[in-house]
Amino acid sequence: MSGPDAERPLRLVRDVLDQRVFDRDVHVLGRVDGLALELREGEPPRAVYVELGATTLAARLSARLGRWARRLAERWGAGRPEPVRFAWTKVRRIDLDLHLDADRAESHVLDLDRWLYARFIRHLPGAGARKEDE
Amino acid sequence: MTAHGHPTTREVRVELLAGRRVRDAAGAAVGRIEEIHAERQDLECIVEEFVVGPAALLERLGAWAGGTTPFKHLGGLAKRLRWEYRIPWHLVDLSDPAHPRVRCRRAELEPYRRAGDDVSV
Amino acid sequence: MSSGKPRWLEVALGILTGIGGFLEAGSLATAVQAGASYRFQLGWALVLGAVCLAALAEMAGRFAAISQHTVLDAIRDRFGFRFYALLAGISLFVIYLVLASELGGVALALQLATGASFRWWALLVAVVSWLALWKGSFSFIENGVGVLGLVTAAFLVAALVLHPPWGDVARGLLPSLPTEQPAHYWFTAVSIIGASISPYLVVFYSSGAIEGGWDVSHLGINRLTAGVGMSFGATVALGALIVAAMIFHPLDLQVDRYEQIALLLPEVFGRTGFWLFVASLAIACFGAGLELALSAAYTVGQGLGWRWSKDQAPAADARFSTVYTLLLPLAALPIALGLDPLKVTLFSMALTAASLPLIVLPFLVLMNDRMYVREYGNGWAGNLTVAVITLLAGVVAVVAIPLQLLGGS
Repeated sequence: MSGPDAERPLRLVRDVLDQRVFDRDVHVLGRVDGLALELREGEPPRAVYVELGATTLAARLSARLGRWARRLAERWGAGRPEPVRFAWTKVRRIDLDLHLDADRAESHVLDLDRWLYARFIRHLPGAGARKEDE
Repeated sequence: MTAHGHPTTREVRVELLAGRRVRDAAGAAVGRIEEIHAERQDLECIVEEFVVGPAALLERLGAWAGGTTPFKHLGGLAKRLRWEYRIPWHLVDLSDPAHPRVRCRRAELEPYRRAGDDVSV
Repeated sequence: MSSGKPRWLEVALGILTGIGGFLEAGSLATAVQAGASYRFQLGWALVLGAVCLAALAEMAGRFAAISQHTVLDAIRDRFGFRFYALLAGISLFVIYLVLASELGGVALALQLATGASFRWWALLVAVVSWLALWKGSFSFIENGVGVLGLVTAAFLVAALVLHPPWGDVARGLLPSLPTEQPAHYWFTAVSIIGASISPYLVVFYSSGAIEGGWDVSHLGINRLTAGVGMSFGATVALGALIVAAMIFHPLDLQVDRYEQIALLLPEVFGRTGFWLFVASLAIACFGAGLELALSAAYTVGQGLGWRWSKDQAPAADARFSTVYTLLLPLAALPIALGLDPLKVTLFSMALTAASLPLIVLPFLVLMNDRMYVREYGNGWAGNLTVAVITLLAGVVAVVAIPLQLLGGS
């Protein structure tokens, strides 16, 4: 391991939250919009998953905005309304970014992207075609 | 989900904890959670302590600085003035994540004040 | 900034782009207003703005080349989502207004050329701009438009032809207090600075370094492009100020329409001067419009962790291409509805000035963060420069809107 988690305590706010997230093929998945800790009786809390998604971001601005964004996503959202989660055990390396042992094709990070392409971009001349795994 | 967005299972969200004001057992303000220190153990990430106080924020902005950024000096000054607590996990009550508390009075947190011994991170 | 070219060509293109890309609606309008109202007295504001922009651009390019992160990436990383959201929200609003003013500038150039109202041209200009982004590579957008923008050097040539009193011009490069209309004087100064140190330029430059594949071996090119290119670009704007000072100031003319600015170059070059002005306005504003639209997409895409690159096909990240596809026609609307392009320009410059501190202040942190910049961070001189620019940005931000109300057009 190299970077923040190799030499000092890992700082969850500075070194994990808001960092870019890459899959095992170095495709960008998004950013760590949320990080969940599990509270355990008599034991220290531990990280369980990182979360990516607009609803998670909205909740960081205000709880009301988060609820509104969630309702919007459930009603009108592109693809699955719930945010994307990756288990903490998938985190392989932390430098300036988070590197996961995951494949973007296995998650729904690109749902909005695919929806915009299918409903809008695809109809504009010269948009090009998407690759199989996009 | 609680009214403040935390899941009702025993989970708390780091992004919602950061910046939250912490109070002691008597209700006196201790400071705001500016950082959470953890240790990576194999595939796990275990929380060690919660860093409370403005020194941590200043350190976050200038911690990596090897140059003359004013934030590094402000962070060092804040530490020398002991504006930071590093509170072990077992002293922090997160049963209501919107209102985190320490399980003792503020005066009992003196041993956890840092006075500039770890500025280099 | 593209890799794959010989270094000398990269340097030459970078400098030419810096020169040709400097003048746009805001810097042209504010320079001409300054010359018309205060003769050479506000030359110092141009110099100050250009020096600050060159310094910030050099740092943004260096940061990106070393860390392989853009400034916006790092702002979200280090300052968190709330600060990024504030910065992005304000930046996007300002970008929208400035983009409207640039599209308006192109539309007005077409009105001058054809006689048909700028309102009819606005949406067409937005569509052509969109096509250029949709089909053009980053290299084409940056270098092609920048080199074409060298036509704006007509203002510099005109200034030389007019044989201004160079002693007075030189004195104007030093700060001085106004002898009349102080509110309008300082408003014009603030607008010039806002037109020069545009945050979107810093975002664009930083993103361009990543698009161009810059690394530590490009630090010299970065210094030349930012320093020499942008500094020389400011001389073009100074040329516009001198021409306005020589022609408009003796007439005590208040400049509040682009049609008046169109009278400048014909005074020097005759009929050719008119077409030079039309070409200058159209190309400069078109290029700035492309940069603004891309900057908006970079601002959203980088902060939210999307795939972003002008060189990827639009289908590769539909979110990124959707941003500029929607933004361009929206920005054309105010112009199509009849808002005066010059008024939109001057208002947006004041807002740009007011938003400066948000993008400048993070440099104090980022350029010293060894995780990002390693041993290539700022020394004491660089930090002092950023501190002074931050102070200037703070003062400008506080006074911009009040001065707009007190003394603006």
